[in-house]
Amino acid sequence: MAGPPLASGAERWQDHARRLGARPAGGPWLMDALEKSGLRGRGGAAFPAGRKWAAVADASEGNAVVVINASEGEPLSLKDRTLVSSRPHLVIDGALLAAETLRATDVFIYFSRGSDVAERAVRDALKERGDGPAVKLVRTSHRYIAGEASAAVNRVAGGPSKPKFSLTRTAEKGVDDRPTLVQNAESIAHVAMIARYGPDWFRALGTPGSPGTTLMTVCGNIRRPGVYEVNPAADLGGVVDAAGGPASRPGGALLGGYFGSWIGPSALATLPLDGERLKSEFGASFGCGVVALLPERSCAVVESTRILTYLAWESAGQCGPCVNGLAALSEAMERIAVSRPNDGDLDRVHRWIEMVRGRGACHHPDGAVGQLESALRVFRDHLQAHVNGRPCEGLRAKGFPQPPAVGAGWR
Amino acid sequence: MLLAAASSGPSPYWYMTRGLGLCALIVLTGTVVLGIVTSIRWTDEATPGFVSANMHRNLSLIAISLVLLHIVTTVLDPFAGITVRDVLVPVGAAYRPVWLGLGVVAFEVMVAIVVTSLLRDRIGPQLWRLIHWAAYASWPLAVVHGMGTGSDARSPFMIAVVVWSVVAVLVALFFRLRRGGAATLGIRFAAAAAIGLALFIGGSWAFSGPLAPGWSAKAGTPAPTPSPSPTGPIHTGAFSDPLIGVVVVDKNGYLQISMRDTIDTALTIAIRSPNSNETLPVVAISRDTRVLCTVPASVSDTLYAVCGSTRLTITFYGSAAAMKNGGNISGQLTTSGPLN
Amino acid sequence: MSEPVERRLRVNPILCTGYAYCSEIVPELISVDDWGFPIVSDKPIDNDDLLGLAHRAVATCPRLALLIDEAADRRPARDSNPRPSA
Repeated sequence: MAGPPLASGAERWQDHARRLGARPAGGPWLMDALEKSGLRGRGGAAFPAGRKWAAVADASEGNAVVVINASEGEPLSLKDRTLVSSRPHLVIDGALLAAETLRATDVFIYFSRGSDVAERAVRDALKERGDGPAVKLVRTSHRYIAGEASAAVNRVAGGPSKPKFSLTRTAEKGVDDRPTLVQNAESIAHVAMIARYGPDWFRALGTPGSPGTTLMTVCGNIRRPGVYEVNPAADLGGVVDAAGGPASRPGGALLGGYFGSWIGPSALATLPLDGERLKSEFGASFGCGVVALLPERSCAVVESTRILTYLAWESAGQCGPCVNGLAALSEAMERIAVSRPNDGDLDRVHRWIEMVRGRGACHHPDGAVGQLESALRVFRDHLQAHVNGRPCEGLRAKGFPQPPAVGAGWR
Repeated sequence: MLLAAASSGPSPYWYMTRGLGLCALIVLTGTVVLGIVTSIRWTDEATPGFVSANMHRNLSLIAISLVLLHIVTTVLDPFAGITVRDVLVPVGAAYRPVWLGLGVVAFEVMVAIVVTSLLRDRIGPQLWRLIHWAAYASWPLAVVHGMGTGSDARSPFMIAVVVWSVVAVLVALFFRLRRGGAATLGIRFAAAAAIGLALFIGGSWAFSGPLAPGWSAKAGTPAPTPSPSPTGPIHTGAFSDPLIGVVVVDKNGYLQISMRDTIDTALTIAIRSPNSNETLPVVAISRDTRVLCTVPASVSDTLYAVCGSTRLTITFYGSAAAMKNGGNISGQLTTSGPLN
Repeated sequence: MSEPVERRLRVNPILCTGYAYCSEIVPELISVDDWGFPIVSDKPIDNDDLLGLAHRAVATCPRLALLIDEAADRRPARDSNPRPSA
């Protein structure tokens, strides 16, 4: 996805066309190409794109809807906004290719109000082009959960950006009950490249399980924080070095953002970035590609609790187990974080983690408790110190960057 | 003046109306109590939440069915003269309009509650809840309606039913108001105060109204119309019948006597002292509302008068005190021919 | 397709407000969490008595939040991603 340096702003149409050539027309061939390429979604779930497109195509009767998710509610992640603001034409190419392949009559690009620069770049880019059905831009309040797939569908259809419960997938019934493709902005940019250069080109980099390059946001305790395009065949140590190395000795890292998994300091340097290896060897997931390095003086238990509390506040508030469970967990973890737990707090936390998992209409509670559980597991020894009442200097340390102010309202 | 109860007693529909209304009140009380039990989620081994909820629902449907039957028998009953219009409009009925009207309002609220509950999924939970709360108004209106419209409000059985119903609902309300956090404390106290006030007002009204004598007239019971058909034999010739009546003396010593023929009961006789222009007492003889004659009479121990072509004699029995100061008297009427 | 249809109870957690009548009617399949909300088992309903109770529970829910899902495959129908916005 190379091209002019990001600092020069959005790539103009002429440069894009000169660099990459005209885009081909979409069609069933593209679905085969995606299957062969093994492209997995870059929004966090890593679902195989070819399979998702096939589900929409099967259900489509020429009335499908394409929604490109550029809302990036994850506070630590910058990749989608960066990509969209600097390569808007690539993203638009991908969206139009999807519309042609899936026989969609409506194309939306979904932004939150934290993506103003990206949105403007797309607006300007659309003025430069004349192809394909009109692409509509939808904005929503800047909230964590607005990025969830069914929340995006709900908002695009005119409702609030809150998740919905359904027994059928959005691929079959999404916006206005029509087959809907919800695809992350980075994923659709990869589609636009695969359409030009083919699946073999894509597979040349990366690993068999995680083919192609991927964007990562590196932040926290790092000298040159930012967005990097990474080859998943590398390990995390390589990425950290490319970003200038840590500013101080790292105490661990959170991989995958607020719904991600914690990595202990000793595993950092050689941590693989291949999705399957992460899962099988570390019980972790790449998520949306954020790696936040923890400063040495910070405490993972404290940071994990802060994240949990944030996520509890960010619940859509629709489901009892999520609202009550995350609040109860947050309360108990805050006592543990300040090393003054009540008797049985940790047991209660473990019990509630299991009680909350899978019981919401969306995966918000799952992600929240998954992040917490990985911290409790990876930093078990330090956690014990908290439980035993030993005060932790991590409380006063700087920790991860604070999430930005939450948007008001649900639209 | 003196009127005998010329019409016959209430029709069977009246009794059915009272009976159905009473059953409806008892079932409605059960509904309200179970509704409160459901809302406070009281459970025990034999009564899980869904049992109270379902019983509440079933009782409410029975209650409204009884009320509908009660309304049908009321309209069919000739005694009270209630029309279909009176069933829907809570004012202006012929029979005890205010107290009947309260029943109409209670019924209409019940209909709204049942309809919104059956359509619960279409309307939002807030609207459903708001209308359902009107049940707390509907039930007391039904109780007051029952006490205000009945002719038997003072019977011990009725009083017992009302008392037990009120006690049951008060106990349930007590448990309901106990629940809630700090945020609702103010509202719950206000509700308790309102209930106390309602109890006081209701009780005072009950004791000074339906439970006290004379309520029937105060409530607006229409006077029963006298029966137009003759209730006794009309004499075709001379006759002699016993009379009963009353003497009324005003402070000026002016005397009026009213008497009725106990056999030809449509025949009434009114006698009064002469006024300043007259020298003799005046007798008026009437059949129902039709005056047959108004003539002077000569009075000593007996009274003589001539009505048309019939000569008549009235003999008075009764104490001298009654004749001087007023009171009940009796007499005998003897005629030389018919008085028709 | 002659695959046997598997029936499962599912709860719509957005509609559910925690009456828990369902857990009273069919405790074999539904228990209650620490906050009064039903935990619905995803075991298939394999006998007729349980199915009858399950139908009863569905009808009794005041919020109509409970349903019987007759998917032929056993995967929970949420886009089974562990992360949102794929």
